Amino acid sequence: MRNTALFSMRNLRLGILSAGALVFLAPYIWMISTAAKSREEIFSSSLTLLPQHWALWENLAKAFTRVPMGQLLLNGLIVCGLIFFFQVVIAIPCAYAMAKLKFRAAQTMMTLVMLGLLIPIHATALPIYVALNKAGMLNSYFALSAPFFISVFGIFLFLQFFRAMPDDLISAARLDGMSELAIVNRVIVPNAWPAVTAFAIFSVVAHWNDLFWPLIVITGTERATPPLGLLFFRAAEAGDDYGALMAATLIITLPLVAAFLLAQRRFIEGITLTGLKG
Amino acid sequence: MSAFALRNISKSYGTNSILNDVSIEAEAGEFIALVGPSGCGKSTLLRIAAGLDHGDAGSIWMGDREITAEHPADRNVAMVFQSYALYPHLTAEQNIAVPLAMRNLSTLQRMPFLGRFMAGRSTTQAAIKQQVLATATSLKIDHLLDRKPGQMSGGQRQRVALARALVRQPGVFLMDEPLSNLDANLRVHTRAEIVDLHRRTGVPTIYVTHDQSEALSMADRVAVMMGGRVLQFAPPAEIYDNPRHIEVAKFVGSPRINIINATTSDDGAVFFGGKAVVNGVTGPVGTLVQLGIRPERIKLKPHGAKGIAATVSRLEFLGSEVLVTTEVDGVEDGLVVKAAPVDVVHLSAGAPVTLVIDKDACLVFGQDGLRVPLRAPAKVSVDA
Repeated sequence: MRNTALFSMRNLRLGILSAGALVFLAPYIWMISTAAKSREEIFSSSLTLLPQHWALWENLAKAFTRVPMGQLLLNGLIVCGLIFFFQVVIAIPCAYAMAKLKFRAAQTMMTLVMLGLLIPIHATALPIYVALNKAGMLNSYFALSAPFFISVFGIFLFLQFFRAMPDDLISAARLDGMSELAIVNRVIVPNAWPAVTAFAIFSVVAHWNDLFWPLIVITGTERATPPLGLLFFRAAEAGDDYGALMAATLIITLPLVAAFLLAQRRFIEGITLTGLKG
Repeated sequence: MSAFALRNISKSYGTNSILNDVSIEAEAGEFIALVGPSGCGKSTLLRIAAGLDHGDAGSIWMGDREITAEHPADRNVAMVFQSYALYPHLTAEQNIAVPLAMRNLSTLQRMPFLGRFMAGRSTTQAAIKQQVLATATSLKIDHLLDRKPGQMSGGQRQRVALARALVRQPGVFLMDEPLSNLDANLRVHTRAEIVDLHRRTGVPTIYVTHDQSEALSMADRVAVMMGGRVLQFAPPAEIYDNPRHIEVAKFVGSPRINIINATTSDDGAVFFGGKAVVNGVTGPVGTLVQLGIRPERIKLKPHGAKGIAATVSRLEFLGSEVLVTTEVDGVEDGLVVKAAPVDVVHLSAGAPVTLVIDKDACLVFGQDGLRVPLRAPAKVSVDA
């Protein structure tokens, strides 16, 4: 029999969760609403969620014409791609060695990784900035991405994942004639997709949305990432065209939201790190 | 010269000695079982044989070639793991093909995309496919070739693991408790299949197990290991009938051998239940010894017959036989007797019986656990 009681435990839970979700979603919903309103309506005293006159296209057009939005999105893509690629290429062999090989420096390396997790980018920002400046490499993709190539968080995440992989699998691979590099490429990576997906979420979200580091090393729009471009946009517009600003914000948040909705199941799988059942 | 030999292998982690001067060799076509309780070092020994681990001392020989320092892949050994260790992301066919692909294709030919354009790749791959199919057919798994390990049952995975080991035609087969993850029925069946497979291929095999019945039933020779040492290395019948150490006697045989503490009297006789059960034990009078008597070497007689008085404390019906646990004066744990069901129909717990110990059934062990030699009975009779 179907449970049709209105105040059942299930509905109560659902209600509380929905209310919580609404609180978190409210700013984003308000942003979309504002992006669709004309300037007059934004500054009018009445507060409405649905705009009386739809001005979404005008606002979007302004966002695209006043800043090089295409360039910003491309920059974001290149920087996130570069960072993610190098992080994975460096972190996976490193984590494999720490998880499955026996060597004398393993303990020391573990300590270093833990230490690395504790030090935020803000602490090392100045020395890195000075170094990049001396090397004449400010305002470049390299300056935007290089400081993040070695991700201790990535090493840590993969380490936890690899430790759970059966040792027998690696022994079998060695007996089958694989070198250590071949083991990483042919056995570890193909079975580490959940971990790679999880790490991709953390890495791409963090660097797509990062404002701090681009603000330090980038001065012009031609290498600016989306959040930095947004900042330029606000400064250029003297801060009263909120409709266009919100439209621009909508555009730069859209790729991540779309990616999440498309790959929702895989993302959650990745975050919960469902282990290998072989 | 043996086909595969481990000579004087020692291994310790810190002060913890795992293997102590262990030597095992397999003749061509021989099936060797390494058996012992968990933690006795048998799996470590197997890993050293495979080259996955290294001993502190000793050498490993494949025929007259020393392979102690060789890389696992160069030794041409094949191993079947307890967990099967199949690659979860590859199909059965790809799993079986891995050792051949790694050996017969060059690095360039194995490249994911570029490899397609390398000369000679397609002929080698066709040959590999042929070999994989032949091996799979011989193990009756050719219908599973395009499944992944996750889509197979335990028994099927086990066969794929066997096929992967077999396909490269190894110099020696190493098996690490390959049956322990199977259910009881399948285990007995697969046991016979592995022995069959071994007879067909003739590849010397070293088989690690903690199950003594598996070792006795499958192997040509059994090495019983305890605490990092090989206590005895002999054919199964020898291990069972003539154990050199009390631990071997206790480990092998189900139900367990009966152990009785006793002392020697004049002329090396040991009395139990008022009767000399052994004669000719060497050593001084009054030596403490342990007698081992297999449960099937004790006969049940009706109460009042000549022999050792006992009381039945438990009956366990096993189908073809019945285990009768009896309480006997002077034996702490009592004696277990294996009897035919017809002999015990009238018995129940608490019934008095008489036990008769077979002549020559007693194995005598000293306090150090080693077998105590007996003076030849012929000599004793001459003296008398």
